[in-house]
Amino acid sequence: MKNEENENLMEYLKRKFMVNWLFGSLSREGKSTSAILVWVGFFILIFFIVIAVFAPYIAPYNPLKPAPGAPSFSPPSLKYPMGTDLLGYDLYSRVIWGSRIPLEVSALSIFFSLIIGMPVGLFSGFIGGKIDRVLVMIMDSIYAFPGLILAIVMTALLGPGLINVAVSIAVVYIPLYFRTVRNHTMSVKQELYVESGRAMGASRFQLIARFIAPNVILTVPVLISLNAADAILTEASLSFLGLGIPPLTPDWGREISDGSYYLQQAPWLAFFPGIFIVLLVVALSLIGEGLNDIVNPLIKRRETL
Amino acid sequence: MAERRGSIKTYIISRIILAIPMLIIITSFVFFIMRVAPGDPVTAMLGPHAPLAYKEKLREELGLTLPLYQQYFNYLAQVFTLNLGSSLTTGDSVATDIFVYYFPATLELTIFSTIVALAVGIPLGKLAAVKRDKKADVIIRLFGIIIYALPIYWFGFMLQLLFGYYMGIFPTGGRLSPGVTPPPHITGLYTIDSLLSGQFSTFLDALWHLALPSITLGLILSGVFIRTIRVNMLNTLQSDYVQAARARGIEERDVVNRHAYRNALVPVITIMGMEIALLFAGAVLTETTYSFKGMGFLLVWSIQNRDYTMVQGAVIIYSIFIILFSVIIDIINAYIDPRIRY
Amino acid sequence: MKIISVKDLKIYYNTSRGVVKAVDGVSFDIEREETLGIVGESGCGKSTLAMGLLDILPPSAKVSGEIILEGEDILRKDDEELRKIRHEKIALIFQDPMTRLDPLMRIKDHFLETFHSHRPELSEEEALKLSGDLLEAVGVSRETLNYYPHELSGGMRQRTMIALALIFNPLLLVADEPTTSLDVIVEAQILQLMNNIKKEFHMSIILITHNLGIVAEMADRVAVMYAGKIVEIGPLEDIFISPVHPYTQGLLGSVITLESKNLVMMPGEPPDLINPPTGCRFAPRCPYALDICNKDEPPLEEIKKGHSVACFRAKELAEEKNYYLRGEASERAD
Repeated sequence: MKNEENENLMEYLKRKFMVNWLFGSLSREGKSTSAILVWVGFFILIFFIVIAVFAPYIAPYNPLKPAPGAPSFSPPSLKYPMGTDLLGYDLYSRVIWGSRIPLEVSALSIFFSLIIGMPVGLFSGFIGGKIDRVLVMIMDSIYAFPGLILAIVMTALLGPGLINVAVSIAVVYIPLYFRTVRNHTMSVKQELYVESGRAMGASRFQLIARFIAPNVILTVPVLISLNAADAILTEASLSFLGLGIPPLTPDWGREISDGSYYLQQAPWLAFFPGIFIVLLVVALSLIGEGLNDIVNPLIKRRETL
Repeated sequence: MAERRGSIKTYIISRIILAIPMLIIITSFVFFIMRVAPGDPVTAMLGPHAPLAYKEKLREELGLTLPLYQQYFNYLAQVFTLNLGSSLTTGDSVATDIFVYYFPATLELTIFSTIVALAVGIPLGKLAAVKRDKKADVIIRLFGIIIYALPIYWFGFMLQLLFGYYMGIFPTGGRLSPGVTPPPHITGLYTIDSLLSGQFSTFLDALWHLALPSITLGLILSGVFIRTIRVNMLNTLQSDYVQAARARGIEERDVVNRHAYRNALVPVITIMGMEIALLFAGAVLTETTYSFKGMGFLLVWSIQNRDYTMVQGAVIIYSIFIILFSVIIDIINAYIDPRIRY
Repeated sequence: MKIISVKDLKIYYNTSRGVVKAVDGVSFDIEREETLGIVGESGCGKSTLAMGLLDILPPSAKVSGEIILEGEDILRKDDEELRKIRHEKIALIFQDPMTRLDPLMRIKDHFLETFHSHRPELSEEEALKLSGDLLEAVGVSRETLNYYPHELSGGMRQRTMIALALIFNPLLLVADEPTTSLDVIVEAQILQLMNNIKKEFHMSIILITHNLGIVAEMADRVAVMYAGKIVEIGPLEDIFISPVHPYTQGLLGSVITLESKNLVMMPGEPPDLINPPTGCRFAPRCPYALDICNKDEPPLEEIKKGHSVACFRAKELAEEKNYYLRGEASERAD
């Protein structure tokens, strides 16, 4: 019976959640702004994914070589829309190709954070007791420590490379997912103790997993969006500092660092990569904030059901 | 009749006791990361072609030949006595360098950045809440999202371009202008030290150099406060005591400012506690951008120069101060909110 | 002498799920020094009604109708005039005094702020003295002024709220579930206090509650609300001894007393206020419902002086139970 109720709850939630907010009634006060935010962010994100995937077709020149016959430090022009640098590399091509790194790194790091953070959180919440307390303390300590500094130290030690960067960033965000899942698990565990001593049929573990699933489905997308935004900034910062992605690979952070030496002569070199970072991060933040606005009341409503 | 007020003393003590295990955890984490990481620090420092004998000697000096658990205990002992060894590049005591010079610089930067963040974030958050869902609210929220998305170094460079190079209003780097001597060392914060020593022109110079970095970091972090204050105020504006105040015929202006606003600020102290981590992280990038010689600058420099002792020392000190600040924040919180006392 | 006249008050909320008709055409009058008890289940609109009287509803609420106080419709007044009326003429005390006081402000600041908003010419010492006097009048020590809300017990807090409400000797005190969060002994004290101040300050009281026991003790007249409407209103004895409307009968029948033999429960649930049923709102649950009940809404009509019922079968039901319709005391033949 409990399973059935919960099943219907999930269907109900999925149905309401999808239908309502995707084509969300523009007559609702405030709800419409959130939906717009999500849509705008979503389209910008798609734009970036498209240019990352189709970079070979969009970028006019090979980013790994100077554009043939290009003058150095030429300001933005029709031929070189974002200008060129000291050696005549076309910035536009490098920026286009550079969109791949943030997307790959953040996707990879989020994946790592999720597959470690969530199960450990579930385990910790379920098992409780001393083990839980220790885990919580460890995770809180990592969480309290400045993420960037942790990532810096780890990349410094692990060495450059895409996977290393992704792992370093992943470690920073594991506590986030751990916490969320663990807290939900604990509060559901309380409810179950109060409701029925021994659940009929399914093991307590399965029941808890079932109960927290709706909540988790609602909150995790928000976390992922904001996590992605943060991860991209972190990755760019690591490259800016010279750790992380090796030198020749087009990377926005590194472009800014390279361009900073010629700030006065060629400000466009530092300017354009930064704008792209801002755009992508804003897109993800919009998605996260918008989802958050929409999801919060749903969570509250569910808690009173 | 009335309940006894909880004792602040017991709260403070319990908080401090709670902090120690966290300190151990973080520093242990650093220790294990450094040992577990691939690559041999000795080879990294001396280069791959150094003679074996030199490497062995250095290994012994660094204590790397001892069994792991012994290294760990030595390490912990060092942490708690703050004996952090000597810099591999300069040979100076790590602890001294950091405490005397680098950390105060970062502290100064973070203090001024926080002032900027609060001064910008709180009023905007409040305005957004009061004008909910109207144009002002949407614009402010968008501003908050965009500004937080700006890469700190990029924003710094743009400000340097605009205010430093084009307009020439502010300096683009360093803590003091060349030729200006630092004030006598009392706290390590140039602004305070110069004031305390009566060196007013030095004070102004230090302030002038702090302007762009603080604005850079502060503006970006204001995004967090905008959101927090806005959400808090939206909550307090709907609270029961606000409605009751309106029922008593209190003027709307006072209802908003006295009841809703003040209650909305209470969690801000807690938020600031969480901000410490962001501040330190942001300081790393800000200092690098502005060649502002604080701990962030030191960290990056040490990594680039393979000065592992310095890196280790820096991370340990970061940990200590983060925990220290979070304890202080909790204590301040207990003072402000009369309800939280164990 | 009528203190306040409410005419066809409607309070509708705009929500994401539709328009909630929380109060849908309520009318009543209150006389001087009279206590009107408003009873009903949770969600029947009684709390909304209380907030509506002072117009402290959230912005999504739309109010229509008239509230005549001292000859003027206060709903037509501008913000500043309305603000002055609040607390000076009509004061409100709430169910849970803990959440209704600002946790960051001492009690004295609550008083001072209220004084300042209405009588800024009063000096702080005078205001403090008056506040202390009021607190003592409700049975609480003057010292309480220096405390924070969370330092007081529940009974003290409610007394403090009452003292706050009395500052300007309002014409009407609206008490929304004033004792629901208190234990029984304290409840008795608070109710007694309310009766005393009613006489002393010549106040009228609207007592909103779902507890029929305290209504029986305190009220002169009773209004029964259901799904945003008043279904029956009349003198206390009439309502309690000879309830006419089927809902009122059901309410009173579900009260457990020492003499109860059967627990009478009403089947079904209150209707959805976004889409209330056509016709009489109680019809779906009513054992006496006829066809017409599902089509038209019964108006609130007097069946006897001072006693009105909103039911098409009101006269029938009253006669069936042998109520004496024309005149004084009502009796019931078992």
